[in-house]
Amino acid sequence: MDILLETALQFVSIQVLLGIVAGVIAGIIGGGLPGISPSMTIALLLPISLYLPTPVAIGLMMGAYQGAMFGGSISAILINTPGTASAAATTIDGYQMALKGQSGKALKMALYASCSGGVIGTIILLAMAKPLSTIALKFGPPEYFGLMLLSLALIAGISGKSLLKGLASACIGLLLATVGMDPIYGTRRFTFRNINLSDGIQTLSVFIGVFALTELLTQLSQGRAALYKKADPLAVMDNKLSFKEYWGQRVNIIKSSIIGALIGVLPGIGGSTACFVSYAEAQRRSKHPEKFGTGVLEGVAAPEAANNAVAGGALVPLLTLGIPGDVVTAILVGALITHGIKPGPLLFIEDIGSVYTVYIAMFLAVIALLFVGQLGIPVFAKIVKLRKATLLPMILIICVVGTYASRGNLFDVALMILFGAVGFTMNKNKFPIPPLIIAFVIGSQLETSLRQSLILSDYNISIFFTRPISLVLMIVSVVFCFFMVRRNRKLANKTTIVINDSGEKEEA
Amino acid sequence: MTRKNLALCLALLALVPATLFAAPNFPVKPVEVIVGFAAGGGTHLAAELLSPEASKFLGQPIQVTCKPGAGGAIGATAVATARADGYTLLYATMSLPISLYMDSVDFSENDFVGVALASNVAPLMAVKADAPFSNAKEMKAWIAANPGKFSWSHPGVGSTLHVLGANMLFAMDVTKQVKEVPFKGTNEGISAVLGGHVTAVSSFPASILEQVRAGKMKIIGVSSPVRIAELPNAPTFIEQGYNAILTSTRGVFAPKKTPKDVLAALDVAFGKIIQSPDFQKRAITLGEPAVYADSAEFDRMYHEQCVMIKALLKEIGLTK
Amino acid sequence: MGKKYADLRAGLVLLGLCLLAYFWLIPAQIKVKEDAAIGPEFFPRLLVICCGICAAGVAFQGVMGLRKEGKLKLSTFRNPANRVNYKSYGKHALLLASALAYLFVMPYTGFVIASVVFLTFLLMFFGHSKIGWCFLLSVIYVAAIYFIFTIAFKISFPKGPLGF
Repeated sequence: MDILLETALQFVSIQVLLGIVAGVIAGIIGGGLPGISPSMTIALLLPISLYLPTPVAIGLMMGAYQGAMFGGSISAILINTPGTASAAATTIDGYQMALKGQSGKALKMALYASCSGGVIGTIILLAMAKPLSTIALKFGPPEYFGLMLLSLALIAGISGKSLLKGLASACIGLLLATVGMDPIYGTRRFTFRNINLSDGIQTLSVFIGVFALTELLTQLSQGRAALYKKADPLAVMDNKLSFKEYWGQRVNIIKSSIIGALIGVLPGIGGSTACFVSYAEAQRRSKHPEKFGTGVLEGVAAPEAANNAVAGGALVPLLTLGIPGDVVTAILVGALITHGIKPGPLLFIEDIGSVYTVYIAMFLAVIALLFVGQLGIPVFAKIVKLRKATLLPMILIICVVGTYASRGNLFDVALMILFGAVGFTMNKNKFPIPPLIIAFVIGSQLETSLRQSLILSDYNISIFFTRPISLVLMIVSVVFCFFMVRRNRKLANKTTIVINDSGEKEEA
Repeated sequence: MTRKNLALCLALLALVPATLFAAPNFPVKPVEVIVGFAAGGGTHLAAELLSPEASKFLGQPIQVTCKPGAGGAIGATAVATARADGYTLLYATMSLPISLYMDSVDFSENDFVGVALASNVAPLMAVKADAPFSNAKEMKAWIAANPGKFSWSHPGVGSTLHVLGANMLFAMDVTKQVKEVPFKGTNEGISAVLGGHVTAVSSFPASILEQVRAGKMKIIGVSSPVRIAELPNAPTFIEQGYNAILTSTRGVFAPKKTPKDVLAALDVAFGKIIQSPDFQKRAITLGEPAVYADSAEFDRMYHEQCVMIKALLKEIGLTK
Repeated sequence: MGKKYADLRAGLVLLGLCLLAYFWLIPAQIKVKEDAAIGPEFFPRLLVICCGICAAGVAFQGVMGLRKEGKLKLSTFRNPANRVNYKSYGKHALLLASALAYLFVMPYTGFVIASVVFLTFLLMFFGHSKIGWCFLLSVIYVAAIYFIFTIAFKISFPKGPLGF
């Protein structure tokens, strides 16, 4: 108890609080700029943190982590470009809300959901670190496969009206994930002898291409005159988020945060998977699932709560075992070591003060995020007032720069352009894009876990059914799949009559 | 010409030979060091260790750029095709010779010349603490008694730990009796071992130190000629009778065609940087050993490694 | 155009791509490992088959829908309203082509020059008419991006003859 008090007192200092705020600001900027990932932002802060006293350094990092997870939603909502891979799901409903004039509302929901998710993630970390890490260790390749299968099953729910098209999209996503080196044998697949494809298609190329560039191409159809029009100053902008609206999301936020934290606990899976799983799960739970994708608050609250909770979850294996839970915590290890903190199984016993430092830093970071975010939102929301003719070209440049920034490779940018065309074609043919994205994100882990499991079991499939956790995941996947297919059938049978381009009536 | 002018001319003429032998005007702008691995990873952090002293000893700052991909090959290609003026260097590990022979790359062995050795880490094979064997001999016996049960993890086909791990198992002559399970990185492999899903992991000391200290994992053997400072109680494979002594080197390379005087300047500068007490202190906090070899020596090591790796990969069956 | 017809067309095109992938792309791009139970080509093959089945399903749904509407006849296929109007996508193709040209030129002229030229072009393309204003805005914006990314985030862009 004394140590806790002692550690807490360390945080009552201007320097520490400034450090946390600076971290949050850096995180929001880094997260908001497409192509600058949270891990890059923290990697950049790493050299600075080396010269700072420990509480300030850790506060800086935690601030940046939470800030980046919120920052990604800013560009996702305003310009349909996920600022970070973890904001990809936020893009789906967030941008639609912005189109309806509700950008301020969406941003506020993202902020409050992010902060709530951060708090819940920290609480889970505080309360259940040890038992969670024990369970996490029980997850071997068959369990990872079960989890990925479950994520795939949720796709059945986000396929919209046509299950077949959704499945086709998912297959294409999974195929895209196979490009690169075979995970077991190292054989090159679909690389066309191009060294830039050896590690597969970069996530950013797909995300930015399929969201931002596709939208750009779609907007282009409106014609130069429409794009040059000034944004209607009298248009009603719904920028307020009432407490009732926030409170109405509480169940969604809590459940999504738990999902995010749990996914964060597993080493190797992080924000991009968590945001989609929580989004799909929120849609499954929802009373009006068909509204997802048109701009509903749940579609923003769920992924944003989840991706901030991931931070808390990813710290669990780091603090209990010394094994980082995701890319960002991996960099954190370097920072901790240089400050004399040795993350490992003995940390709780030898240096509980450092553990408390991390907990308190996380908590304060979330609070700082709330304040800084509130100040920033009115500024960010103004971006939509720009003429499309000005905004869209600027977005394109940012997309190019962002895609280039992650690997310093122009080939990735070329792929991004290609995926813009692919996304546009899919939209025109009404093939849903979210299944492709989620399949692409989990594809490589899905295949790797499957084949790792088969190697370990000497190609005996029973390994998935004889291990308890794996068996449970398999059963839940099948059950989910069944219910969602059934609900999808009910939805699809509700046909509506529309007038098509030739003026005839037909079914939609 | 007046006598004063003549004297002036002669004085100027005398300076000419002096300028011919003067030191080259290098560097005049920051030097870019390309790392072929992801930002924030072990190799990147090791390369960043060079930055703080650079201005002092090289005269210009070093800019570390990460160009990840293809196990370091993308970064290597970028340097091999860059202008050989000394302003673009490569920070590479043993993955450079490995990628030459295990991969189809657009550069060749002679596209690079070694400038300085900065680091040398010894890989090891570790298992869970409650494994039914505690050293290499016991492990070999257990494998023979329990066919098909032993599995080991490494961070990916073609990685240094993959090749060196395969080498350790080859030295123990158990290659055909074990299952090889690639994971995305060392950390996932360590979790798999701790969870009992995989028997052993091929890793560098830095990742395992805390687990060993906490008594959760134990080391079967270290691949090194002598015991390493970070783990004085861990036996090497060679002292247990198995010939696995290969370690992983990391260092700075320059494009082969870089002019000799520029190379000489780089050689001197990096020598000072790496041997400076500050560098060594920072290296040790990151779990890196403090070693150094100059350009001639490191270049020799590099070519020796290329020959050795080519033969090794064939011998242990990773290439035909 | 008729939605069911579009479905039929999309389904058939995708099915064609899947067949192409299965019979040509996969064998060309993936070296089969003989002694492996599940080799590198297993997953891609499986996925292409699944995708092909879905594509066939979509096409089938299109056919069934057309039949229900009584449109399963030759006149539907001949109806110009049902054809893809390639001309309407000229702007899009131009945008994509110009972006690729921008990437191609960048290593030679450097990031800044290529971006200023491209952005000026884009601003005009998307609806502006005062080229001087577009150029000015491009210079300011590209400079801001350049400095933010190079100084704050330490990204190094392709350098041209002028060093930036």
